[in-house]
Amino acid sequence: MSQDYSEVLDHNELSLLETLDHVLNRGLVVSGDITISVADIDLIYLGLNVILASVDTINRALSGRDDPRDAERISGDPIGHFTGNGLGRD
Amino acid sequence: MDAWDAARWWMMRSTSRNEAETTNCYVYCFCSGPAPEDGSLVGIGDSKVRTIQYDGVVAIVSDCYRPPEPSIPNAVAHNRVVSSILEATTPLPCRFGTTLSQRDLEIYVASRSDDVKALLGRFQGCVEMTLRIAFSAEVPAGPFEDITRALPGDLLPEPRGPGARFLEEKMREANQQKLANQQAQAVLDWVDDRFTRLVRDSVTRRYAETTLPGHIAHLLDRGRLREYHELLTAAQSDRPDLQLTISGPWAPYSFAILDKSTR
Repeated sequence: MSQDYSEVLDHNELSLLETLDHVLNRGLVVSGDITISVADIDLIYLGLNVILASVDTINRALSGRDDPRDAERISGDPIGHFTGNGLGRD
Repeated sequence: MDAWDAARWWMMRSTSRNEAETTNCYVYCFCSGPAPEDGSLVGIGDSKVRTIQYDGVVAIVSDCYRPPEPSIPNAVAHNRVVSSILEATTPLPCRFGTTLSQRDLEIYVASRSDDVKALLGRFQGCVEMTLRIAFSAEVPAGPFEDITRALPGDLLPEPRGPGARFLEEKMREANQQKLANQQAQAVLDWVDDRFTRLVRDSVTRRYAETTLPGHIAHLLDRGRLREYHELLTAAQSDRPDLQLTISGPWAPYSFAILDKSTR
């Protein structure tokens, strides 16, 4: 079996996951005396959750299991940064 | 209304009034001057994006009363602003949720302006590309065949009881994970080595997943994006067992780290 990301998630979803991964999990953290909080949720924890969710989705699809939850894709308005090369397909 | 209710009402009224009167800055990123003058930029919650300049450092901000909800539209809006700045210059992107008063922002920039300027200088003319690496097919089972005999027979002679079999299975699982990690690291090292000559810097993250070795964030000059794609095509051709997927260009999110020791 050979499946790449593009077959598992469409470009909009990939773009959205990439955006969330970058915005929530990376970037300058203004620390010290200045408090950073988002609705009392730990940002690092939130970011990890996003990554694990995306990896889990990809893994489930790669393992070939027909999980109905796969249909419950994240919807949104991603900004189209993804530039998947489309290589490595069968 | 008793005295306790009256006190509680006063406290609630006081709190809501303070919230309403306190305007904070939501910070998207920093960049070096001159400040981008684009009044059409819309930020989180359709807020108007503006700039604040301190000591040669430009903060891209919008007004808000409280930190934004961690929702997908807000995260996308954050990145939309940062990406707009990236079209003109390479910013130092902040993590989502960076909200502080204008006075705190001034204090922060004043105390870290040299570090922020140094990072902005390092990023000048660069973008980040993220390269995700996965196995195109199932991970080859070959390396795992040798560990089916997890425990030497002389240590646990036959017949083995349920306890010995349990321990053997646990050791086999541990060995499999260890080998998978080694395999993932070897793949990441191979990919990293292919791009070393082209990029200025890289950050590698290995996943604890056998089918997804990890990702590498590359910092490279904007003018070398074509070479980057060519190098990716060549790497993909050499390793058809891997799925190399890129995204970008991004602001250098993965490299926006200020060393606390320099404070």
